Amino acid sequence: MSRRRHSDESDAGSQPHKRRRTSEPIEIEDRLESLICRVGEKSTSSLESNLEGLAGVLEADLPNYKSKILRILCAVARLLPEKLTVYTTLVGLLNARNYNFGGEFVEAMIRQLKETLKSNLYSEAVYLVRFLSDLVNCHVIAAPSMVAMFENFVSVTQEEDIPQVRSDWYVYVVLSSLPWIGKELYEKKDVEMDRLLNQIEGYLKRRQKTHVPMLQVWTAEKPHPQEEYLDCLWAQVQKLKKDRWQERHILRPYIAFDSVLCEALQHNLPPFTPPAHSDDAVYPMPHVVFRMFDYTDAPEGPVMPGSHSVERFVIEENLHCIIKSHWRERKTCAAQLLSYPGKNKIPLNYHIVEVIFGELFQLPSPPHIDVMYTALLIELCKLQPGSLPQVLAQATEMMYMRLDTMNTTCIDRLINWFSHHLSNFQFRWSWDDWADCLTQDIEKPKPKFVKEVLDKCMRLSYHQRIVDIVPPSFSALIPADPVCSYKYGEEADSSLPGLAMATTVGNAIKNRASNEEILIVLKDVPNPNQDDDDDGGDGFNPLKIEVFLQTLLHLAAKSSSHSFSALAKFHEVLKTLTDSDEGKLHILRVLYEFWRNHPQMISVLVDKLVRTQIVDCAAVANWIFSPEMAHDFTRFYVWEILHSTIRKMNKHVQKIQKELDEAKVKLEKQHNKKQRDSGDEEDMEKNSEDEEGQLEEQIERLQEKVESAQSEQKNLFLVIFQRFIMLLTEHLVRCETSGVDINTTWYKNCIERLQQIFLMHHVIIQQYMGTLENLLFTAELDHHILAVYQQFCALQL
Amino acid sequence: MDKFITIFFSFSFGNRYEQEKLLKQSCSLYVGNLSFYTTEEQVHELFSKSGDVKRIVIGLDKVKKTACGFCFVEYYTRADAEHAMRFINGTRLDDRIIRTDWDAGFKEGRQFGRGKSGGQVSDKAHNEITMITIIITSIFQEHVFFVTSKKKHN
Repeated sequence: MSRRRHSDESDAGSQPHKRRRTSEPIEIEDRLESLICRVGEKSTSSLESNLEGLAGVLEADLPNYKSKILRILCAVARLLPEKLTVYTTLVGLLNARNYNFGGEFVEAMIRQLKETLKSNLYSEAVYLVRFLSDLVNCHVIAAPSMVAMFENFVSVTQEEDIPQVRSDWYVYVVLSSLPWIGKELYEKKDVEMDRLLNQIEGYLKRRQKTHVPMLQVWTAEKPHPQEEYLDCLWAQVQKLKKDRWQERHILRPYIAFDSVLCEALQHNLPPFTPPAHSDDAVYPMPHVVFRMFDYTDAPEGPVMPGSHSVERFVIEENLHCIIKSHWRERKTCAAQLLSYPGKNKIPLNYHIVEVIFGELFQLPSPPHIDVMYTALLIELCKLQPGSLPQVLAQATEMMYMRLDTMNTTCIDRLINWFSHHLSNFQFRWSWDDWADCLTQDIEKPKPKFVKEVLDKCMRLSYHQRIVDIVPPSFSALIPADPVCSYKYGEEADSSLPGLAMATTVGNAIKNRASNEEILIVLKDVPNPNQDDDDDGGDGFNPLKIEVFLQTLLHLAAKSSSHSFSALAKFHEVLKTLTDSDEGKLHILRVLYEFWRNHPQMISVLVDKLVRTQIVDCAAVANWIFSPEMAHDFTRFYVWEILHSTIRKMNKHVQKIQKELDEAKVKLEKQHNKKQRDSGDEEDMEKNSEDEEGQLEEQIERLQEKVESAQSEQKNLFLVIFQRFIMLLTEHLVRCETSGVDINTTWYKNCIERLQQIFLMHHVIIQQYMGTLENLLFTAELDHHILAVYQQFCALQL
Repeated sequence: MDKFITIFFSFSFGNRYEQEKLLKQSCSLYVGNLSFYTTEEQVHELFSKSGDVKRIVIGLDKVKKTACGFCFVEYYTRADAEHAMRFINGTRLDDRIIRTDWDAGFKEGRQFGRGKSGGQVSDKAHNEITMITIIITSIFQEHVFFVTSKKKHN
């Protein structure tokens, strides 16, 4: 089904729409799809008359286009959840006119539900169940059969030896449908529903919540507790029940059609058993509800519904659904968010901003790519220039105030968002409002945040711009002028070792010397690590590396492209110089020394060195944890480098794995072909045997490659975790012996960086849990460090 | 015929289809409306937000060899380039709203502006050239030689 309802030339991956030859049935099908998808959008007629009209059209087309209509309706149920009640009403009207169609639709929905559960499409399954439950309101499905389905779902909590996330999901799907259907189900089956809710309550009391601290954006309980999602939903349902299931926010078009619908005959849902748990089932991870606003924050206009009101839940659900449907097209997404039905009764801008930041800060990772949220907020500011920027400014101010307890990963994302956002608005900001950070230790969260933001702003502009945009009082937080530091320049001390050699090498490079010629020149560089040059000077020689690399980088300092060309041209020399582990570590040190005022250059050059295999990933990890980098250990760019390195490693493994899988598929095809062609001439058989032999050889080689890559990957994580454990243990022991509180700024940063490794690469790390537990995260470990590991394990239990 | 008549017979049928195919698979973007002072590093910082950047080539004035307001950005994957088209196209870099477009792939020489004075061909002339090319190619497909006057430069 086409998701694009507006022709959008700027849309990226769109296929040009093919012009079909005029052919009536296909045209009619397209028209039906278009009519169904567009119902409920802005129109000159009322929603009710549009639904009435559409029901008539569809009823008339049922004889010829029934299966197409069924397919479209099932698709909108699954993919347009923000218009749930519009479509349930439509189905209700169709069922009233054609009982058989109603039955077939329900059957199709059940089939679809089974499919989505089998395919691990759990969020779509939630929408389908909610749709089915709302069909009770439309007199399509009989209430008792819906209750029976819910009872089957809740009985999953009685299953043994299942991951908690499985039973969590089945409880969630029942609770999250109740805002729509609670009233009706309680009216018809209150005894059964009470029993159901009691079961749920019992389950919620006994389930584990070890995972919660790892997923909270703020560690503080004030001003808004960051609640576990099921706890919050339970509180909301409890309140709804106390209010006797009176729910006034959801748009219910079917109420207008009550007289027609209550005449309809209802269908019973077939008994539905939840599919059994299997090892390849991937249930949704738990999450924490993000809250940053309450009724005190919206100064005028409609009041924000309370955190435990069901309205809050429904609004947030619907806004999340709109983003999920339209995130690829930012202009449409912004327009859809701002035309939320019922927007006049709520402070919509606040809800939108809260939902967007909730997604951006979601742990382990946002549902969509970070930059989308920046683009979306810019579009929203464009559409509501008189109101949204102010809400956004208010939100930014609030988040600044609460930086002390904000998770480091979330602070990273806030830095990226804020700097990118400012760069679209001439960097205008009331920096003076944040003057309080100037009196704090520069490592504290607030000044650190400002410093990192200014760093990023500079990367998107230039140094003088940053100097100009902040008040002079902020000068301590302004980034260094990003110039290189050449140690063999004119100001160098004449006694500096290697100085003369640097000039020689520089001249050689300028005279277009080849790799061999450079290596010959470098033979004369003495090795400070050795007393006698017994091995002909081929071992690790730090001075050689310094002289060569500093000179090379200096000559190529004009731009990153110049530096890339230089590294490429002298790849051979660099490979030779960094043959050992120490060599690899040293080249990173030299690079850092040269570009220490320009973190961006360090990042792109480390990336290049890894990609051209001059250094390996483990070398980067060891370098980051080395004593020389302790000074920059808490700086954002260092962690960007580490995570980028881990990602390169992961992609490398994936790539070889893919090659192996493709070769295996090819071999199988060969086998099948051979069986089909057997009996042909000898020549052909011999050729195919050769081919097969070659393929088998290739597969063996690739298998080895995959194993070696995976071993390198595992080793990388081991190195990283080991180093973290060493650093943290050292700190904890030191604090204990001197009686100092462990919770220093550095410690908070470090332990959250450890958490971040787990969160950002959780899929890969899951593969190596056994090794990690046996080698590193054993019971002897300090419980502070072990807790991080245990919280991580709890995410998929 | 008339000396003002130029007959285009160098267009091969397949040229436009080839081009479209390349564009659909491309991981490269053309970026326009850059400030002349925008650096490679600034471009890298912005475009890295949608994925790992493989290469950036800053467009140069053919004569002066200085930056003249456009560049090419190449990603490792198509998906990353699509994200750039969705979320970076139409936003600001160096206070200017930049424009991104699919590019068939950087080839040596394409970094030089093709405008009359050495800089970029202006948008208007660019569109005119493209339009005439399309007309020629589609009419050629009907096996008719189209007669046209020389295309105007700005």
